[in-house]
Amino acid sequence: MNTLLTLARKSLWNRRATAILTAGSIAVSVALLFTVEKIRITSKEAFENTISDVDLLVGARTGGVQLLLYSVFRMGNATNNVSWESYQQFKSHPEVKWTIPMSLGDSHYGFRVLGTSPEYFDLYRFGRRRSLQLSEGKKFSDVFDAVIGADIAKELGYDVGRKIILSHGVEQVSFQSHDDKPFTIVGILEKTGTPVDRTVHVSLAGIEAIHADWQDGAPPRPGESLSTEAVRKMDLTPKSITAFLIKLNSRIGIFSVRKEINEYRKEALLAVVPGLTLQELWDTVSVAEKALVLISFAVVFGGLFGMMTMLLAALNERRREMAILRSVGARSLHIFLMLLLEAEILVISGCLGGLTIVYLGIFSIRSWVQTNFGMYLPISAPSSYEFMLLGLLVVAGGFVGVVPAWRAYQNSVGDGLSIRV
Amino acid sequence: MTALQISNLKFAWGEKFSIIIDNLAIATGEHIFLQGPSGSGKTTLLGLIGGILEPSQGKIELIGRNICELTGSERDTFRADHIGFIFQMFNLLPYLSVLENVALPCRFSKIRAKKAEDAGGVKAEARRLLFNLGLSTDSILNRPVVELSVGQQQRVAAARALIGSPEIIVADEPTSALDAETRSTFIDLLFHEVNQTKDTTVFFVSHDSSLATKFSRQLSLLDLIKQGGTNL
Repeated sequence: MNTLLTLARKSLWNRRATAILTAGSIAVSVALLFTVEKIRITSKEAFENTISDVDLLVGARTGGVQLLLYSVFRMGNATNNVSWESYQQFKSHPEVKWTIPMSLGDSHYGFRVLGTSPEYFDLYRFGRRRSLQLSEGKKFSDVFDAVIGADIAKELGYDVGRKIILSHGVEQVSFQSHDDKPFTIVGILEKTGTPVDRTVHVSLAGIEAIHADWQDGAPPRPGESLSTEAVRKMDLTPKSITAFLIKLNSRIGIFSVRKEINEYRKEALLAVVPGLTLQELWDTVSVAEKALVLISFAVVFGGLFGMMTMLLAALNERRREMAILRSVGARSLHIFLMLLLEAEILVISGCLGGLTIVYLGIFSIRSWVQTNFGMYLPISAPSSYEFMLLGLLVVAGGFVGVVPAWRAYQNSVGDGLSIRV
Repeated sequence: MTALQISNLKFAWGEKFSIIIDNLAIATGEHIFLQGPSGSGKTTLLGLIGGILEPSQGKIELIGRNICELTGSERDTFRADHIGFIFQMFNLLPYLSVLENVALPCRFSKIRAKKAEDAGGVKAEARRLLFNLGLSTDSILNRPVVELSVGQQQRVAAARALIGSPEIIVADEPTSALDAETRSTFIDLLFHEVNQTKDTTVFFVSHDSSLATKFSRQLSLLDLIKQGGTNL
């Protein structure tokens, strides 16, 4: 076996131009497979880490995925609101530790505006229980203060102190703007890799203030609009909010509180467990990711078939080599094994090459990805799943190698010791 | 003791071609010159002796063993242990060094490896054989085989056939690519080495009758083999 391995290695090296190209194409396909795998796992983690350390998400009755989409991912709109009274009712529920109210519906150049309470900045958790950090400025305290996410600051070039105007509705170009009541940016958050980066945060009172003079969802009629100063003097307690987050004193209460909210008589509400609904949502969006995995597997098989072609194509010009080996005592079985070993050498060096590409790639782009996407790419040993993939490749390489090996075996039985030029 | 005993042998290749050998006995230590033009059944006969081909009838005994009774892989092992081959040209594996090429049979045959070890080690034995065959300088030993001249390559092939002292040496037109002078030197060196032991039997196949006188016995394939079939 040792002899055969040496022979296979040296014979391949003798044909190194094609051998290196073949191993290289396997390496590229393996690198693609592993990159897709890493992206899949990292994006799934990033997705699932959008919100953490929260027990329940509550909104008006709708689908669980819808509620999650519009309240956490800021996609689409709520069909209904939650009344302030209901919110207060559950906020003071004995099992509730804290709540974060969320009021959505306005935007700034397509970025969503979230009205919330100042505790949001201390209580909101994403990733592995990471909390929000301000890279500049402070939390909002005044009615017309705003704290923006990292992406907004970067894309629009905003700094602390700049005045911004919010638009009614969520369209990129809104015809109804709250230009009579500008907000001042008082803080910029650090990159999180979550929708928080693309959100303008204001106080609930701020949301209430810009709509104070609106009636039935329509802008104030001429002469009826209120000045900023007049609004400040009003009672800015909201009448309703879009959704709210609940943290319980103990996780044990999750299902009983959820049941209580879902069966609340005064208003049709829906409470979901964010983790479970995130999983449900991931299952629906992961079709694309599955397609990507499928394609990368197809590329790997392409690489393996390329190897088979290379080994088969070389067999004819190697008949002399086989006959010489047979004449010095190699059996047909040895020829078979030698070809199989050649296939395995190509596959294994391809795998190692592919891993090298992946790790060098991660090493060189990780800081760029961290700053631009907020995704943390860990340099870690291959996971057990990745080891399983590698093992699968080695086995598949063996199966593919059987074809040229069998062909060489038959040739060597037929040719025997006679050398055909 | 006979090195080779063929009796009532019949080999058929499909319906078109067959050869028949009634009787052929060769004693141990004989140097046989087998002469015959191409198409005289030379390749088939060597295939039968080498255990690559199976006769449809008859018996082939090599050093007292009827190889027709062996299975395919037993015949492979038998060939590896007891027969050294030299072919016409391009006998060597281009990706191995001269020394590795010579030592190759010892990698596949335990018996030949042991004999070479007993003679002083595989490497030392390979060097000794190469030296005796006129390839003495170390620069040749470490050079890629493709850089050797054809005459040098054939001597490396001879050293490889001889390593581990197989009982039978089969040489299939080993000199046809060499010029007259190199040819004669090659055979002299080969015999000098073979004659160190008195029990090595040599089958030398060639169409060049000028070499025949160097051998202890000459056979003509045309006399030996009765060819059947009509189309060839």
